[in-house]
Amino acid sequence: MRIIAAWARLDGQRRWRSLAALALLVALATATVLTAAAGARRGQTAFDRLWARTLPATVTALPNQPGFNWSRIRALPEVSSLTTFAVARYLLVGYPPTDQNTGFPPGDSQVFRTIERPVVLQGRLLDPGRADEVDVTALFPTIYGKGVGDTLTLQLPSPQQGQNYDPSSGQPPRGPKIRVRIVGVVRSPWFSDAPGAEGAVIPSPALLAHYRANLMGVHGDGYINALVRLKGGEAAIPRFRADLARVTGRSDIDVWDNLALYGDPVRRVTSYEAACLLAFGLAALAAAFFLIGQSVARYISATVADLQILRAPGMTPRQATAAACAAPFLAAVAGATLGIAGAIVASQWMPIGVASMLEPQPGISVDWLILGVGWAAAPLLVLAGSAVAAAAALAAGRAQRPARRSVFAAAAARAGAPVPVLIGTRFALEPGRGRSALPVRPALMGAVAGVLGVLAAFTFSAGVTDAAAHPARFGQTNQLDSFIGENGQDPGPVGPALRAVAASRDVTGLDDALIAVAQSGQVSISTYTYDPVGGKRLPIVLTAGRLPTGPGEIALAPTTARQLHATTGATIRLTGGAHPVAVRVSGLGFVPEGPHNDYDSGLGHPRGL
Amino acid sequence: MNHGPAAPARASVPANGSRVIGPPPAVRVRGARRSFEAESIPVRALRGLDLDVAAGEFVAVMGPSGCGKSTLLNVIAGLDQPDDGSIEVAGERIDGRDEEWLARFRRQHIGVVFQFFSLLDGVSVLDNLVLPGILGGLRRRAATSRGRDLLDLLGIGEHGGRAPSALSGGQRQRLAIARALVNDPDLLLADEPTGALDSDGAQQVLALLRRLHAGGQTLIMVTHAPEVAAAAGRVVWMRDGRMEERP
Repeated sequence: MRIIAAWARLDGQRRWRSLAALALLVALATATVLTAAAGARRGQTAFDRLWARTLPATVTALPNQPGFNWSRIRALPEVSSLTTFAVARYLLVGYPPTDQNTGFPPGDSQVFRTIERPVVLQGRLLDPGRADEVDVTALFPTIYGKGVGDTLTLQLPSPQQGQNYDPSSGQPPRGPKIRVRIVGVVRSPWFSDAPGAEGAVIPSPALLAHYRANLMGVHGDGYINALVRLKGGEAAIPRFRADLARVTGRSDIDVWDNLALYGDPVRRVTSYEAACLLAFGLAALAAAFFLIGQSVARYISATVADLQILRAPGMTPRQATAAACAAPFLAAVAGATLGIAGAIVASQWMPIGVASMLEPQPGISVDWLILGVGWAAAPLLVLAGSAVAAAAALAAGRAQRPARRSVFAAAAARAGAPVPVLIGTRFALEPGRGRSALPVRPALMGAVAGVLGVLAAFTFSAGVTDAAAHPARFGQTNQLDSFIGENGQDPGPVGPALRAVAASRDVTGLDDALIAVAQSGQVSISTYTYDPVGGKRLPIVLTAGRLPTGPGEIALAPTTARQLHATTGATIRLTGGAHPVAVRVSGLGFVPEGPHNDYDSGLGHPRGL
Repeated sequence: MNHGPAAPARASVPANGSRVIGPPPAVRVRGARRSFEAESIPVRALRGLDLDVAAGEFVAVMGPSGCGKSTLLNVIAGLDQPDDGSIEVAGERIDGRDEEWLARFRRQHIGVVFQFFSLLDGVSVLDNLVLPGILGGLRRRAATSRGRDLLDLLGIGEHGGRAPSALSGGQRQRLAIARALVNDPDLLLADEPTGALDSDGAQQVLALLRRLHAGGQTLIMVTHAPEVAAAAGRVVWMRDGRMEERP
């Protein structure tokens, strides 16, 4: 042991630069791999952790019916808590009206208390009694440059505009301007950001209370919908649906299973993100194996060449192996410790992507399990690599074998290749011997793997960019949608307007979509008619089967098909209309996106279902 | 010819180098064979060689290049293993032993000096002695003290803090001898110890070897130079992997 300590001390003194470089490489690799691994674990659990601590709404009930009586629903035995919100819009003054997410004004003070009690990322929760206080979601300060303590000006619609006011119409709201102060940045499953979102303002329940006419219209005929937390969680949804239908006499009320609607896609995305992070971590680990392996192999090769000198005075192979490994091991311990510190610092940028929008505790996070394993594994891997390299070098030294010659270099020599080519080939392919010996095969494999890895990364990146830039590739084939009329009422003759739009040279496809909500079992399904105007059919993307051709056929969007466990040729039963109907699934395909569905959820059918 | 001071009395020695009577030898080699490949060409370095060296004796092994002198020294030192035959040093059979055992045996019983010094260039002159001292079981402080004593004894005490590469050839070989002596070995093996030195350096080293022999150190020295071999008490000759009879 004394000789190993003595050698490590001497080696550290004379080759501290090499050891420092090795320690830095280990630190970089450890920090990168562990940041990715811990970030993956954190990202994969982000939604579930947020769900577990924010009293999330189990369902969103959307009767979209003026004057709906929520007190009867609130009294249902399976309802744990319920909070209402107005389907009403207003504007943030000073910012472009498009893409503003001003949030539906809460209708009561249950929100933030007994349901959707968000984590406060900064500041505090708003006072439900003060109309001049708002909270915002985490993206808002980044997008708008306004944070806690800053003020915003909200402009409400006039009572005449009321709940029909739509900021995207281009008309300015004509109601009062209200100066509000941002008091907090909050996050819950309902009050969170989505990819591409701009951040949301969450007004106080006092806003609706004080400006009800502006937000609900002169006659108070705006919609009040609700978030509902059920005592039995998801399992209580069927009972809630049944009681809702019984109490209201309506079977077509859209009831979102929030966990299935938000949680499942989010979990898929965050799992994918976690897998990507892990893949990145593994790629970094593989690169580190080559990079650090080279460094260790070179170091050990030179050290063993020195230690061979001590063979004559009596150094045993075990002592030589241990002595050769000691300094790299200590450097790796130092590097791993530095890497752990780096991973802790870097954790503030984790998780990434969608998970970052759902993380209940953003900022620095210490995952002791992963960091502990990494801290132990990195030096042990270096130790194992050093031991193998030392044993191989000692064996080679004892065998006194001649240095391996490259067959390619020999062939080049026989072919009369120029001297620079021969020298270059030998440098590249022959390991040499003694202190200057290098493991050329791992170096070549590392170079090839590195180039392939870079190519794969660029190819993947180009593929993702291409798919993102061409939504048609994944089924989104329409660029615009416009809502004309509601609840079966058109504001005027729609036919001439549709024909005029279809006549435009720039329009290649136009669908007169009648939108409704149907139920099949426990699944709410947004339904769209496939009804081309002027012979210009939207290019519907099918993943299986064919488009429906008659009233008894439908095409299911992929996610809905998965929820219903239905495939092409299956027959499903739909309720929500005047009477239940049985329809045949003619194919699986995508539908237009709407307020209640994504492009891969819902169903399409010909007119007349 | 200087045979060195106080060469011990010895029994009659046949021309092939093996001793047949007298006290137990410090080194006994019987029927040693060793072959290897160099650049894909088989080389039979030792072909059934016998050799006895008595304790306290100073033997020079001479012969032309490639006759197996260095292989013989390596086999006696346990740095190489014979393919056949027996090697006995200080009363212990060392042939067929594993590397661990040989290394431990070497550190207690054998010191080796090489033609090109074989020093650790990256560490100081003193540390070149301290490390073998620690290998031999000394604590660091004791090894340092022993190293300083040896450096002083060999006349290079003022260079302890310098790198070996800063020393002259003769000084470096003296340092190599000092390293071989750190653990007070029974047997000192020297492979062409003056081969890389100028004449002054060679004389210094030979004088040192004679001094050691005079103190009772058993020495086997390989050389191809008669004037160097003349420092030894006995000279044996090798040719083609065997001892050669010389009149």
